[in-house]
This record gives sequence, C-alpha cells and structure tokens, in this order.
Amino acid sequence: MKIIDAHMHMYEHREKPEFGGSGAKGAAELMDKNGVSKCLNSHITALKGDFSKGNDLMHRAMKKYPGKILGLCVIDPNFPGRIFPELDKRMAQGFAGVKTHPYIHGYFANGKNYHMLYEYAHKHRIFILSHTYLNEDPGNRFCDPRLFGELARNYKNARFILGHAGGAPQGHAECVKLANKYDNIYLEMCSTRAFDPRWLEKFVDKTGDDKIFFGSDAPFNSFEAALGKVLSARISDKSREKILYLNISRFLDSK
Amino acid sequence: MNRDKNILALLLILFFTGYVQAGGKFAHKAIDRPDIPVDKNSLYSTVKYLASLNPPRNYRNISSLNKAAAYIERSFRESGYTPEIQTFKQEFRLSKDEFKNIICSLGPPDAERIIVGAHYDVFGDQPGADDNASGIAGLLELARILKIQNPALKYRVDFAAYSLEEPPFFRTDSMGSAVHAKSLFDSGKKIKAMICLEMIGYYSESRGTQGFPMFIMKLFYPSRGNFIAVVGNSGQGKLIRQVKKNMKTGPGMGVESLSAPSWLPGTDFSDHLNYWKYGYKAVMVTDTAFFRNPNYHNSTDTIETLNFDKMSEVVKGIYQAIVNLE
Repeated sequence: MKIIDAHMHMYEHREKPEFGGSGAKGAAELMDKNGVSKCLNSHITALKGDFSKGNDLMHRAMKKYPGKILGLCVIDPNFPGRIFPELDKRMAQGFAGVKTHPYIHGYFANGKNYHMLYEYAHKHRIFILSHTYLNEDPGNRFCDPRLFGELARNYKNARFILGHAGGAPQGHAECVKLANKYDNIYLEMCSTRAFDPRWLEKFVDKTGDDKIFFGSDAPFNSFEAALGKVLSARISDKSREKILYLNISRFLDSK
Repeated sequence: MNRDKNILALLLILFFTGYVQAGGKFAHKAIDRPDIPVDKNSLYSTVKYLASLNPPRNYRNISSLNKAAAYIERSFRESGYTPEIQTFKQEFRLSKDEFKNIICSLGPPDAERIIVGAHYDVFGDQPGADDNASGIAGLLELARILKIQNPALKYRVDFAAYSLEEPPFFRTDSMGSAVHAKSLFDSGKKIKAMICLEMIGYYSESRGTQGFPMFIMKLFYPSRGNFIAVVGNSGQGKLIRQVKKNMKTGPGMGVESLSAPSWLPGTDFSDHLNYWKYGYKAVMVTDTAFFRNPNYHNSTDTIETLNFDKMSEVVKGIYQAIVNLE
C-alpha cells in the first residue's frame, strides 16, 4: 500500500515521545515505520517560533532526506517585510510549497499581508497548505474555510489545500462546498475527530475522490488514527488508493 | 451550538421514549454471590507481561503480538483448555504477517454460545495496561475460575482473545473480532450474547473524574469514575439489564449501564460492534475508556495506574453474568 502523507510536522524535541518524529531522523523513522514514502512537512519552530529559523531547520531535513521529506515553507504574515525574501529563498532551495497557520499567527487568512503570499503563489503557481477550522471557538475565525472562496477565485494559479478540511462538521460542510466550486481548492483530511470515518465518506460522496489528500498531522496527532479513518471508511479500494497516494502524487507532479 | 442543542433535544426525546436508557438512577440491588476465587496476582501478572512487551504489541511488531498470543494460549492451556488459533491476514497490504485470535470453550458443546472477548493488541507504541491488557487479564482469569468452579452452564462459553482491534484497523473487516464474528455467522452458530471486555482497570474516587459523550448524561450518572459500565445498543436492553444485575457486587463496586444507539460516541468503540453487524446481541463491559482514563492511548497507560481490587470485582461480576444469563 503506497502512502504519501500530505500533512506532517517536525519537532526538534520529543514533545510527543510516544509518537516519535523528533527532528529529521525522527520524522524519517516515523515515515518508515508507517510505510509512508513521502510527506509534506512543516516545522513546528517555524509555526510557533521564528519562521525563518524553522524553515532553515526544515531545509536541513530536506537535504538529509531528499525526495522523502518535502518541506513546506512557513510564512508568518505578521512580518510582511520578510515575506517575499523568505519565499524567494525557500523556493530556490526547493521547498515544495507553503504552509500557513492563521490560527497560530492570529491573522485572518484573507488578511492584507497574506495577499503578498497569494500574489506570489499565483505568479509562480505555488500551492499553499493552510490550517482551516470552523466551530464555536472564536479563535477559529482566523482560519474559517469560508475565507478561501474569494482567494481561490482571485488567485486562480495558486492552489489551496485546506488542512483538516475545516476540522469540525461545520467546517467540513463548508469545505465540501468550496471544493465543488473551485478547481484550485483541495481537501486534506487529518483532524481531531479520531476513529470517525463518516466525514471522509461524505467528502467522497459529495466532492468525488479526486481532490482529497491523506494527512495525519503526525507526530502531533496519531498516524494510526488518521490511516484508520481511510481504511475503515466505506469507500472503494480505488478511492482509498487515490486518497492515500494517487491524488497527492498527481498534484505534486503538476503545476 | 444549534447542532448540540438539537442533539440534546433528540437525546432527551429518545431517553424519555426509552430508546436511550441510562442505568444510573435505577440501579439493581446487589445479589448474593458465592465465593468466587479471583486471583488478583494473576490479573497483575498478565497486565505486567503484556504491558512490558517491547516493542509494543501493535500490528507493526508481529513478534510481540505473537508473544502475547503465546502467553494467552499458554494461560488457557494451564487452565485446562485446548485453545484453537484462528489465523487471518489484514486486507490492506500494510504487512504480510499472519495475525491470530486465540479461542477456547467451556460448557455444553452444542448449546447456544456466550462469547466473552477482549483484544490484546495495543494502540501505537504504548504499554496499553488498561487498553487492553486489563481486558485480557480479566478474560484469562474468567476462563480459569470457570474451569475450576465448574458451575452448571446453560450455554457454551467461548473465550476469545483478538488481534487488530486498534487503529488503523478499527471498524474494518480486518479486526480479529470481525473475522471471528463472521466465521460464527458463516457457520450458522447460534449466539446468545457477546460480552466484550474493553478496559476494566482504571478507577477514581474523585468527583468530576467521569466524563460523558453528552452533557445531559451527567444528570443520570455518577461524577466519580469509580464504577464499571455495561454498554449496549438500543433494543438490547434485556441483555444489558441481565448483565448489570448479575454484575452488581459488594459495596466497593458500582455498576452502571447504558443502552444507546451506536452513533453516540464511544458506544461502539470495541470488538462488540462486529457482532452487532450480524445481528448478535453484544455488550461492552468497560471503565469507559477516554471518558475517564486520562492515560488512554498514551505512554502513561501503565500498570501503576490500575486498580486490581476493582478489576477482581469486575471479574466476579462477569462470572455471575455468564453463569446466570437466562
């Protein structure tokens, strides 16, 4: 069974020792253990600390495991003066795409500074994996998936992967609408709703199986629980194969 | 929020129409029970062995799963049984390994069966003392004392230890219990009841330690996580009531019950769900897992966190339920 994990993270310290995944070596070991051939990975230091420093750490990991750890360059919109230089540097270094986290950075996904990134992504046909979530938590207004409709429409050459596919039932429902409406919106399915495959079944039913990517959020969340949702979902084996491997593989091959 | 209110309203309606039945306020009195010689040390030894297997007994580590299976098989043999091994492969090409259910039987061979089952694999790289070494310890001890006590049994009792309950196989046809349930159904076996032992070792006497899938359930159940729960599907109230009644023990052990639709989170979170698929009546006996135990699916799920006195009482209760099931 071939698996590409579209949503992994890397730590420098073992915050989740039971799941492993610390540093480049830990991430590679975690992948090997779970039969993952490639992953899209963003560094926690880049998300929660200085994004350039974290991106440096990711670059080292990419060099150590070329073709296996595909780095995502984290952009923190709170530092607008550093956005274009960081993007130029990281794209030249071979980063696969960009990771944004409007919730952690406390910045609306459609906020002004993010548009610098979106312009860049549109011009260079870059994809962005953004954390999305929608429920009663007011903090999630920053990463409300509904913000991405206008972005997808205005930046047609950019491709948006909605991480966690909205995270909760309310967000899932909005993501289904967006994926159906916009060609450049894709859904990545890792979430905290462990063991429950029903939303994945709904995604396949309502959006088809071409725009859904498998992700685990490992080591922050359990790889087994994420994979279990795909295996236990009442979908065809072909759909399973597409979600686990074929869709993201084609996505990465195309620009 | 509206969704939650809707669910709350629905649950209230279901509750008052009898579709969901809580047992908290309607507890049965304890029944007289003979002295049942549960060996607490035996429970402890089994949990200790399984929880210390390294690498942990998950699907990636077939050597550890096989050691666990061999331990269970040996224990059944030492209790006087001739266990059968049901082998199977998982269907997702994640490994080529062969996995094992270990099964042994007691009672009239051709009678309807009571299946008592527990899974022995573990989630991720955790020790899994409560989840589910505790269930296996209870299973082995039940088998042992039933053999020794040799009570008159109306039903045949099959003890089954399953592999591959945990993710990523949970809810798939590759679960050991799915393989077992299907084999019973395909061969036309009559099943009186299935009793699933899913985490029976974690208790707390502190207020507020018991969580619930729905807020409203706080009105009907204790806030202290010091009881064992019998959980079943809607429409299986009779079985649930019988198991609960027979499990009522001395003053140190409360028994609560819930009959609820399987969409209520947690209701179908173990091997019993696979018996429901074939129309068999099945209940889960549990300490309520993550609704109580903060160590659930964590590296802190260790033997030191378990209460073996309470576990012994649970085993005595299930013994009574098996013997007295009508």
